[in-house]
Amino acid sequence: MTALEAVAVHLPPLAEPVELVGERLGLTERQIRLFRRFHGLDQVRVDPDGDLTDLLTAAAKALAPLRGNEHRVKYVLHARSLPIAVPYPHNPLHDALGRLGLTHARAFTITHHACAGSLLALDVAGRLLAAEPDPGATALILAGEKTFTRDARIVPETALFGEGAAACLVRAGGEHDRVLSYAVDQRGEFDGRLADDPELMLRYQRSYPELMTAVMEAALEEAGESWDSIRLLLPHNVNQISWKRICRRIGYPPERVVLDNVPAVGHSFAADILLNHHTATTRGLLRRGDRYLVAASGIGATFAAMVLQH
Amino acid sequence: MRVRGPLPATTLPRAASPLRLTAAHALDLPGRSPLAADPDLRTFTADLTRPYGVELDEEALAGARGQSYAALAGRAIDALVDPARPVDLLVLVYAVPDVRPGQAVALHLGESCPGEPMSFAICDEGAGAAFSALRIADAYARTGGAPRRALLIAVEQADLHHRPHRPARLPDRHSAAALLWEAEPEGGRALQGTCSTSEVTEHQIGGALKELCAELPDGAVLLLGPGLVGVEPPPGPDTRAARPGNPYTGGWAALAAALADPALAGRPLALADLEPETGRLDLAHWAAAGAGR
Repeated sequence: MTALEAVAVHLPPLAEPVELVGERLGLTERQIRLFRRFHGLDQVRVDPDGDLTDLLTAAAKALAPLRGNEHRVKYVLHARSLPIAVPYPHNPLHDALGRLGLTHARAFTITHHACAGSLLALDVAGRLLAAEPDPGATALILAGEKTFTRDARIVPETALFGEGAAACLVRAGGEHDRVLSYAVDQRGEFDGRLADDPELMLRYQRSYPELMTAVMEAALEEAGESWDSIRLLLPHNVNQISWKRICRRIGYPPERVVLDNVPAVGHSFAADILLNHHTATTRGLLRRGDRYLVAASGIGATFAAMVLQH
Repeated sequence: MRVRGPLPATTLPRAASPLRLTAAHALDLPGRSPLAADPDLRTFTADLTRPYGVELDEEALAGARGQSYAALAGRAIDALVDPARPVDLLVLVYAVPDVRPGQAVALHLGESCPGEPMSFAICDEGAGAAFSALRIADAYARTGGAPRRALLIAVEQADLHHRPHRPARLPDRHSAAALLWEAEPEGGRALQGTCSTSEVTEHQIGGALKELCAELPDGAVLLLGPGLVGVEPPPGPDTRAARPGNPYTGGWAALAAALADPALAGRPLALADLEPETGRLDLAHWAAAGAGR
């Protein structure tokens, strides 16, 4: 059964207030105020001097169990939201492998699930490792992206992106954190640029709570769990208000949704659920054996959820 | 919605995988996609290249050159899949950016492909990415993740809209190559094995290829991908060279041609390719048609 051996994060040192980010994006004062007061955003973490290679390398270097075990890493997956992130033939993932002593590993970017891509990467990594003859083999999942273009800086009326990054070491088996289920719902009818298409934006916003809830409940059902048995919900960090609304809808206590990183970091693409996992374990919010749910959605649109056992 | 529980405690051995390679199709799509004329392409490419100090290719942008991966892969789907043969898993593979670089094309394809498969994309591994996709499809089959059909589509389009900072491998045309795997008890070809070597330097290629091919069965036909142009073939198997102008689909197009060749039906097939950027040499091989469980 796929198991998360360790999770680490890298937060760039610069925290920019939403007012500064909004001003650069040309947002009105009202739009900026909406992000702060209504969506619960405060600042976003960015690294204006670092590139994607730096970001991925820093996240992997924060992963203590990787050191000395590089030879066990069979696969490296960059769970990336954006289909293209650098000018071809630049290859930050393979540049990072060189810095990490992992050039022997098979490495690729897995994408087109947008910000739900880290759940996909966990599923794929688990399957690849399960099919490996070496039970000690591991996979390294990296997540984190640069906010280099407008679509990578803002989801209109919803979120501001940050450059938080995360790394996760995965095994085909282990005591914790074990993956109990994975549900994914791909909705191509939401394909398009939300910023340029108000009608599409409205349809997406209206459908979002129902689709997000449905995918989470499908993951719960498959794992044989219910909302009552779920200790924590680790969400993507788009904003606070959408998760509070979903909590009201499903009757789940909002204080058990890890939202710490929404105001502090910004929506860090596919890295969110790993950032929140790290926060949950660092704060001691999970006890051994606890079931928890991770959930994310990605523009395009993909909705995904996973139940794990700590 | 696709819903899956925990992976099984034991994984099916490759020989018992329910999926067999039953069909393949390769195509070229000349011309230009209307998407290449979208002003967003300039905006995105300018933002993408600015931090790297890379210049835009004004000629390519003004000429609206380039092809769409949705169009290329869509044609491959039309050629291989119909509503009576729904697909459960679709993996899109690319290296060169699409003319609509921000679109999650795999998701769009999943919506239109019969079976509405779970779909995603693999990139940033050059010629190795299609071999990774092959391993993924195989792993899904062996862990209960793709019970009926899996479709792997490699795409490449020939036009960049920036001037690369160093020589880059680019195709000389817009192409796609797709493989269909089906849970067919009798037909098709069973995947017999995949193996690879990393960090292969230029002077090691011939030796590394020989080593990987040492275990190929008698009578096998070895297809040499575009990354192996000019490399001395290993002793033993008959060899065929892929078209060098398609660095990312050429090997798979050669496999499609071999699958369609009745003279090769009784012979095992193998495909080897090297990605010079990463130094990874890959080999995959299949049993003769209808044989080998």
